[in-house]
Amino acid sequence: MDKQKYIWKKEYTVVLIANAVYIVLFYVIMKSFS
Amino acid sequence: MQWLDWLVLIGTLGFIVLYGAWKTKGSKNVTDYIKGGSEAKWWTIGLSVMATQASAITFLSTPGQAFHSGMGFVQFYFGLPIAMVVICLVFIPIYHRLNVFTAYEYLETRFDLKTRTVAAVLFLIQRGLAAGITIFAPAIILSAVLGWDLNTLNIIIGVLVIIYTVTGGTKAVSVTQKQQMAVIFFGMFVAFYLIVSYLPADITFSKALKIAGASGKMEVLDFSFNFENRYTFWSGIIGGSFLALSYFGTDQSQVQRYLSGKSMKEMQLGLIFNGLLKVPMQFFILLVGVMVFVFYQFNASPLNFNPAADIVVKNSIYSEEYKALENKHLEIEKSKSVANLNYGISLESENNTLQQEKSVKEIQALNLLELENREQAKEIIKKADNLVETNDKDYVFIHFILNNLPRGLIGLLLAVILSAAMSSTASELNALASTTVIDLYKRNEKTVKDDRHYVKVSKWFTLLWGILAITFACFANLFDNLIQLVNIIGSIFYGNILGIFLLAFFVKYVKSNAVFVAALITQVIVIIGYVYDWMPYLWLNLFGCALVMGVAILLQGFLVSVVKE
Repeated sequence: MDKQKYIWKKEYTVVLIANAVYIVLFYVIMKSFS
Repeated sequence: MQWLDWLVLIGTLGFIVLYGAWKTKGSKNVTDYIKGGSEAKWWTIGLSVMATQASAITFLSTPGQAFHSGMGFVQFYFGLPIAMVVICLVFIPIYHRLNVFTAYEYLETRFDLKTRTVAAVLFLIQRGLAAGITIFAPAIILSAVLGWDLNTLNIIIGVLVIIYTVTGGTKAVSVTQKQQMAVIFFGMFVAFYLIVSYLPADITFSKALKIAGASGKMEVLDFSFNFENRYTFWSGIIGGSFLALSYFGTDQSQVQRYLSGKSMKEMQLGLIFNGLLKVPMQFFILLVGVMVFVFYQFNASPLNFNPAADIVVKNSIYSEEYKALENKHLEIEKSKSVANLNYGISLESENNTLQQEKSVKEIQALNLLELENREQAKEIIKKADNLVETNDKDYVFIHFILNNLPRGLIGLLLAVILSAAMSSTASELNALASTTVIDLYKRNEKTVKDDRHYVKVSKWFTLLWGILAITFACFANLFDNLIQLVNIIGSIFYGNILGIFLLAFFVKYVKSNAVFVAALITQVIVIIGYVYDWMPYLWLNLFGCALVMGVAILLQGFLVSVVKE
């Protein structure tokens, strides 16, 4: 079996950052309405 | 149900089924039928992946989850984007390069035929049972609240799915899932808008969120390390990644969705699309449930939302005792309505902090009283009939829909629920048939047949799995706590399958015999572990995965040393 190369794409960074932003937003919502 | 609701319901579902069957008929080869001609774009893949995961229970149960326990359930999905990235980075390039039809096909390339067959059979057992439940779970709820015959409903859902899945294969599944997702999103947005508009005139959306917060429903994040709490930030990130990786990376019902992509890039973008939208979508569905909660702070709600429980207890010797609790519930609700309204008014001025704190304390005390009352009611229902379901979270949203939405929209929301049931079932039947044909039938055929033969066989197997799923759904209520049973079966097999794939991808040192023996040993140990209750069943996923990897690595080491000697 030939060696597998893992190619990182900018879309992966975008999806991880977007989800981190969601979590920060959830934190803000929780602090504002709890 | 009025005639307009019937018209919307039958019209919506009928159009999706007939359009799906007509648009995708006439597949000539296996690539067309099983991989949808390999021409799906990223948005089709993304919607298809989301529609496969979102079953009817998602739309029935999630708002009820928020109604009772708040927004915390969203944390369960935090690991999903991480899994999407890992699958794009590792799984998809391999599947694409080897041009596989099923995930298990890859295992033969990496290990051998017997390992591929074991993984395929484990999948067929687990997903075959799950397909029956995907039909049964919404059918039992809808039959309870609408009074429809349970078996008729099972057969209707199953037959509608069979019509287009047999006719058009993967392409039909993708085409219909786009329309089903459109119906689902439209229906949920309309429901959300109406719930907010039904709140008292003084209660704005912002105040509604504050009112929900006063009752602890806006606790979105829990950073504690408490294993007693099922949904925390950490269990979501760690456990959620793990579960999503096994589900999206190794379960053919999901793998087949992205294998239908036009190119590797389309497949990867489809999963990224899912990774971007899944968490906000679940947040939104939970928010709908929280708004239903706020709605019931100002409107009467039943003591238990399951109508079957209500009927059972009212026809028993505990009827008077239950009615006394209902009266108490009514009194508590009246007090809560006043307290919440006062709290809402007090929010208009920032100088009213004292009044606000007083109102919050009052609301919290009333919530405790209400909870105690509901728990007492559950105990009485159990005494009246031990078999009836007292956990009513699956019935909250459907109760709201049927009792509060205007004509036509009840039909639309029922179409949302049935669309979700059909979209998941279609992917399951499609994947079950593909795995049976590619990994078992075609792989073990002695003579080479033409493509038309395999398309025909695939159609027959789709029909067969459809009939099996309907049959299982029709007999499902003979078993107690069936949904849990299927989750247990899933947990018993999932860890082992994921472990085999992780070994294949990351531990090149391990070869076929070691992994095959390790898989068999692991499966026996996991089953023993479950029988002797070594751990809560969800942990069996992690246990099975770690065990198969550990045993395979040790066995490989042992085999290598024996060969050297």
